[in-house]
Amino acid sequence: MERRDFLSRLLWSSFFLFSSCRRPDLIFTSKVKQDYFPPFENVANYSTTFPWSGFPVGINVKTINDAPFWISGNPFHPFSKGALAAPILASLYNLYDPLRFNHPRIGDKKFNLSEVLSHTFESLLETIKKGQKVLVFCEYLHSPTIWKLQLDLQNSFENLAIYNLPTFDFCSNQISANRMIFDEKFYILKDIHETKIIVNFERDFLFNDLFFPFYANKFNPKKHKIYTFESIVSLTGMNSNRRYILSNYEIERVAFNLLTLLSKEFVNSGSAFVELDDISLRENELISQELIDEILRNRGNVVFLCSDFASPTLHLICYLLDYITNGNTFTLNYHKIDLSEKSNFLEKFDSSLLKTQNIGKVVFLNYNPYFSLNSPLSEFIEDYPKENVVSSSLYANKLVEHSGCYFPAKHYLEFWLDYANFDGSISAQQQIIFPLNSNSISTPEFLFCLKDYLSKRKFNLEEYKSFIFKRYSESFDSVELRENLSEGFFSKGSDQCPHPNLGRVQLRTSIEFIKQSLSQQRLQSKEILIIPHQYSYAGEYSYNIYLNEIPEPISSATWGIPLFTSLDLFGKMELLDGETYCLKFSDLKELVFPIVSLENSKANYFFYYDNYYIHKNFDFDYLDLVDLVRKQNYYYLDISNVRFERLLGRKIHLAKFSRNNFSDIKLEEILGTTGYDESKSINKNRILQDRKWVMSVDVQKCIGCNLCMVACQIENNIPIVGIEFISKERDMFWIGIQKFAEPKYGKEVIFLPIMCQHCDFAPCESVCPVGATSHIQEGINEMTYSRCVGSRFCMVNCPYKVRKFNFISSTEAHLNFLPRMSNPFVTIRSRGVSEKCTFCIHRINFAKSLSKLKGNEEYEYDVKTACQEACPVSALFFGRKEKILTSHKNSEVKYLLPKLNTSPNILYFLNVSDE
Amino acid sequence: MSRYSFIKKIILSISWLFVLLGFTSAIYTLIVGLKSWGLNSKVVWGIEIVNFVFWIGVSHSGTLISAVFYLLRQSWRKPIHRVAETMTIITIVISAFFPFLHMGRPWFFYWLFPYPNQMLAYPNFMSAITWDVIAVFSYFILSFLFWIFGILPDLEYVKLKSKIPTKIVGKLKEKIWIGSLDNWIEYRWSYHIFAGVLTFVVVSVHTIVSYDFSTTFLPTWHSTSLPIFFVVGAIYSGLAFILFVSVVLSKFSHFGEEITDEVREKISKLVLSFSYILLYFYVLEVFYSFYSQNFFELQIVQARLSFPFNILNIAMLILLFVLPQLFLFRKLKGKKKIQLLVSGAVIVGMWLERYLLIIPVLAKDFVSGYESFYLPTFTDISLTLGAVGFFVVAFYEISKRVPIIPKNEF
Repeated sequence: MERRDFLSRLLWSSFFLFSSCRRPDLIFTSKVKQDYFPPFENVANYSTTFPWSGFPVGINVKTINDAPFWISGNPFHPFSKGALAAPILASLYNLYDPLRFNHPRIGDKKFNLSEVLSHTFESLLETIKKGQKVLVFCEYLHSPTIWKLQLDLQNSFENLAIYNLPTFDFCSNQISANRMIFDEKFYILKDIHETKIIVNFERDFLFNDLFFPFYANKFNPKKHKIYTFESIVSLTGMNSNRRYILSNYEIERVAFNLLTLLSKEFVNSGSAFVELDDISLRENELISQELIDEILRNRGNVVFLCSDFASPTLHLICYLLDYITNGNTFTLNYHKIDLSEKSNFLEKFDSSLLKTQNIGKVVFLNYNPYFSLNSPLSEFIEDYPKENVVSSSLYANKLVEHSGCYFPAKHYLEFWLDYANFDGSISAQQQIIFPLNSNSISTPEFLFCLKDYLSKRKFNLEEYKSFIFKRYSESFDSVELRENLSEGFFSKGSDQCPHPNLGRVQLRTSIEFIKQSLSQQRLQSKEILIIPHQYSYAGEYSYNIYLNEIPEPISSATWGIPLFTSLDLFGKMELLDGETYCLKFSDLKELVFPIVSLENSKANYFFYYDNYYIHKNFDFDYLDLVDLVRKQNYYYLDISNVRFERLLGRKIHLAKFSRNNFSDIKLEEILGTTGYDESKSINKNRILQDRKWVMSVDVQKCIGCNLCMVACQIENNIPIVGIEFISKERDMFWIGIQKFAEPKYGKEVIFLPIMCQHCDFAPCESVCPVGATSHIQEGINEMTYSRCVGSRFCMVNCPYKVRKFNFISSTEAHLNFLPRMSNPFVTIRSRGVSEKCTFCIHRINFAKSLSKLKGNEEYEYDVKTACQEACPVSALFFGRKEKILTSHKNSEVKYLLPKLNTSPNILYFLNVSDE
Repeated sequence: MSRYSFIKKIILSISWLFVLLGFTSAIYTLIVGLKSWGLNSKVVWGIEIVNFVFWIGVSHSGTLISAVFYLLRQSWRKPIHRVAETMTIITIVISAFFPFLHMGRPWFFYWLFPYPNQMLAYPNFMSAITWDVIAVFSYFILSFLFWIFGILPDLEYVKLKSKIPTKIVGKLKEKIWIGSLDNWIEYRWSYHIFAGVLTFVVVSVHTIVSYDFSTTFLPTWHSTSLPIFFVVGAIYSGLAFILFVSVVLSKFSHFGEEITDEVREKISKLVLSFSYILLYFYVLEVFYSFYSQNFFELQIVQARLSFPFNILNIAMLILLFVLPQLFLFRKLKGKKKIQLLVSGAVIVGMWLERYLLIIPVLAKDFVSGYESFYLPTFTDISLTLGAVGFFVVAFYEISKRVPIIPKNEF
């Protein structure tokens, strides 16, 4: 660490000491039981809401000394039901990140927030008075309060236009398609809870999706069967029972074939299209009679999902498929999110508006056109005079360079707001922590103050809280309010939406539409498809070191996401795997990316998961690739690429986490039914413990989303080692998820989470020269960091390779080590020490002391580990061995590397599929 | 002679350079930690452990020649036994240095010794590393005493410049070694006992070093034949080392005349015979893997036969088993150049053998089948070179002060 760094950290930590420990005046504790940390009275649990691409996700925030240090899902929340997405958990880093502590600025000069606000409001008022337009682009939050503020403002000032733009842009294509099909503006969320068959056309709803928390907690592989047709490689594809690899344009045709075949089947039921016979169908073996039979058998329990970046044709086909298969016996839950009246939600911002109107000022509220796949806006900003642009964002990113006035935005744990859930209830966002940056302002606060100023010529930021409480109490009295806030939402929810009305007449016209559009073949090779990625979200998570370090689930790349393509195209274009290429586009500047080939893909184009690049128009986000040049020793110097801003001047290097690649070894070789065979053991004096802690892993449930890795990293203060170390394979992950391409277990890919096995006869224990690793009574393999001398004999002898070595100390390792961020109950490890999974021993100890305090019997307590708490599909379960074995009576227990006779305590449950 | 003295100067200056390089790298490693090495989270034992095993192996032949051959009444050992003993103590120092530096927190190295303490925190006596520490430590003490003991009759030829050692030597000369008949009688039977004890120690030390590997779970290491394999390899490399040193000595110093062609030929024969014994063990190891059909052992064999290890493997086989066959020819066996070539080849080959024994096994992940990539860094390589330089320098400096060819006829 350099002296300057040290001083700055000292400064920040002292700053935190004086500022961050302030707790808001009013805060409601969570209804969720405080399951651990009893001896600490200053540990508290608050339930609140976190927006995930604008839509509410219920969370519980744990704080110590009023500083949040852990986020978990709120199981009572009607929408998310305890599920989380990785960026929500990792956003704790964003809260404390020193990079976000910026000053409000006018030009290059720093001012106080109130000065900048009054200056901004005054200039906006002047502009409106002049008769020029003021455009306000704000992040999309599904919040009634924002809608109300917005409507009030727009109704009273004609020249003020407010646009809510999605930051994590997935739904826009579906909304546009719905608009084309139904002449209505809405978003449909199909519930998979009751379904038995899911036919999926390229939608990655199990990872890279707007509604990932919603789908993940309802997903149960033992209940559903997924059939996926896809050209890209997605986690959903890997998790499906059957995966059909097609090229992109083939998917529409296959969907259409399915539609015609099914309609023939349903001809007697009265909802079929007999007219379809005249369409000449391409021979397609993919749709087997079995699939059709399966759909027929489960009529009423089938759902057809299609990706958002699909064309309207495919969306329409999906609606039709839903309609004809489920018909009158329709039992599916549809959630309709109506967007027509409530907000100015734009599916794609109309760039012609920018040219025609007389625009005076442009305001961006926590919305960054550089991130949000909206090219005309970012191009417009680059040419627009600086003085007329106002922006607010968590980080001072590229947009700030193009704006004359800037103020920092608040983190979502720092302000009050409400959100509308789909069932009609309202989620409350509590202010968990007093704003760390006292000069920051949130989107609703800005709108509230703007409204006040424009009508009364004065504003008071403090009044916002009373305003929002007034809104809360409009429907509830204060007693109820407290109760509701402790639950995190107001339980007033009601019904689901009916199936969208597809009349017979409408259907015939839509068939014409499908016929026309099917004839076109849109895609050629040398094109690039851009898919938004959940780890980059709206830009602020690009700075998140946790999200950068965790391997991307599909490619296992860290610290830089590559461009993917299929092996075929690799051969055709004579590319080298992992090498860096410069891609030149017909209408864009050059992009430089490492390119990686993916097996199991038939894409005849490149695809890329990020939010940064651009949707061109409605049809597709395909960019024409003109030329491709190999670049060697290229450095990231393009400042606009904010995702890599941290890596500026560094060599592009694809770091790959080794364990995440597909294994060459078959599961049979490494998984066996006997963990311990006494006849083969030399050690006959085995002490059998009755109350042993074990972890069960439901292997078929695991979807490989890597959320457990993020949780483990945050909970256990695991150092972030950065791109250089990761590329040297010096990663520190305590959990690794290994992929096995073995369809016989009912899924295309089996994901095997591998952590310390806590063996009864741990090979690492006997070899440690100083006895730093040992067993405690309840069967846990413990590690005494302070005793470790770093001989690494334990790492050598661990057959599972789960032990990690601290090549540098923890404080040195965090790129921006934040003392507030780290878990105070877990030791920070020094240099030269080996470490591994501890089964969250601190949680166990707290639970034990809690049960003692309560006077319970000695062993009657339950513990949840961090990974278990985070797992969205609840594939991991931690508990006493007897309890777990009784709860999994029907399935067979398997152990990792059983021939070694180590008697592991991680129980893998995996059955061969019945098929 | 002048030509050789020029070469000698060059070799010495290069060696000093290596020592300086190695010393700087060691200090650098202590300051910045092990991130300066090429290790990763799978290959956690790098070429420093290879060096440790190699150098401790080299040290064995010294005891073999001085103690075992003494007990076996091999009179031809006389001119070279002190060369071998000197080599032993230098190489033990070198080899002990590597595990020390290799520790994550070397400032706690004393935790490895069973010293009495209030917390009753003793080392884990189940661990092979603890045995290792004790074995290497006692081996060093015994070898050093044996070396001093052997010098006693030649005390008058010891030339020292520094004060305290000179005083000690003087006192020894006055009080302990007068050269009387009693002296010689006592000397003779105690030499017997010393040699007997050392014979046990020499076999046990390398056996214990091999326990570092054979007590683990890793395929091809986890084998009862590994200790004897190690000992044979150690003696093989040590003999080659002695041959190399004796050829060099005969060229560069006046001592060379004492080391006759007969002695060198005898060592050459030993080298040849040990190449066969080692080959047998090498074949046996592969045979075990195929005979047992153990999935993981076969994987390791496969890894050793695939890039980049296959190149090293072929090189090793040529160096260790093909080149020593030159000694089959009576004409070639006596030639110093051939002896130099073969012994040099065996030394390099044995280093490669240790490398191939350790690195591919660690690089393999048994759950994913993934093989991680290990490449030594500049620090690693300079430490290795530093060890070579230190050997040359130390041997030269000692041979200047101590009669490296025994003067007495014992």
